[in-house]
Amino acid sequence: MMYDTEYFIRFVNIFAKYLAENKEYLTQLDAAIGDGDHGINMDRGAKAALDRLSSINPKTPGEVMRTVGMALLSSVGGAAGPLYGTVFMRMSIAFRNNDKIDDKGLVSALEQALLGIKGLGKAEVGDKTMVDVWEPVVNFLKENIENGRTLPEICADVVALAEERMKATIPLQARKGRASYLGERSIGHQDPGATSSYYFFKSLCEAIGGE
Amino acid sequence: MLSILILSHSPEIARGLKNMCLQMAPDDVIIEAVGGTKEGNLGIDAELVLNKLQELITNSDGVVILGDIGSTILAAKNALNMLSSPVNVCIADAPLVEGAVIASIEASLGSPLQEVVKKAEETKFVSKL
Repeated sequence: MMYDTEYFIRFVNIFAKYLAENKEYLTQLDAAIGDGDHGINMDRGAKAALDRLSSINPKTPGEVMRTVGMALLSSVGGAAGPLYGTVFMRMSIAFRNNDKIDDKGLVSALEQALLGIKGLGKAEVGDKTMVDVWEPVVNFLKENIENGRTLPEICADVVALAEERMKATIPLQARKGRASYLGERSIGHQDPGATSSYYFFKSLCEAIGGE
Repeated sequence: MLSILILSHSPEIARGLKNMCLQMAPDDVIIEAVGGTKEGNLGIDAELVLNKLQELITNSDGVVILGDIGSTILAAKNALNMLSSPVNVCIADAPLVEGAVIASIEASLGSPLQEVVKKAEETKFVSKL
């Protein structure tokens, strides 16, 4: 399948919708082990992104991602700002000026985004962060797309895997970010960054079907 | 002339620490601070960090960045990545208040960038009692 500018705008709108609907939930998760602002921050960032998209009217997928990335950098406020900002900026760079992105292009952009997150936060799988969702999901996508499958064919599995890995952060002890200051007290809570990452991948999949 | 870029999650800390540094090192160093979100709440505006850093790179011979908690360091690293890792910019791995004060003084004395960073980082081991 080919992913065009409309697809990425649809994706950002769905992601923003999930962040708005789950603003309280994400904030509650963050209040348990962080500073309690992830939901508010992500929702504010996503709304700023939608505002910029409607005023800039981007012409390519790369332009969509760059516009969103800069909006998140400026408006999210917490650590998620640079982290999600990096995700969108890295994907924008990977897309170059192409009008349409194929499955391989999408996966390699997601791989770049993952490298960006890991380079910035130095987190590994098991540290109770967004990497706990990102790494297994990107690896799963890479393996399947390399074997000739397409994202629409494996969407249900992608969403299920993201959800499973998100829930798997509950028993972990945080080793990065503010939650790590809590030591063992961080055990038993789902990681808010892993949760917003689940919405990210869910939105990528749902944007395929149109809205 | 070098510049010092103070980053804090709190706008009050950023403002207050900049004043402290200016009191100790009023001349021969540029001291800038970014703290809080656009709305003035706790957080960091990573786009403003990027713009401020770009401005300091243009207006000085080198920049030492100091931050407090995680998100400020992530914002600084993100800015460095987006500017393709400029050679004359360093993030000092130092406690924010002590590091910024020492870095400001050291820079105002005309020390080179690496020496300023080293002096700031040494404050990690300074005993107060």
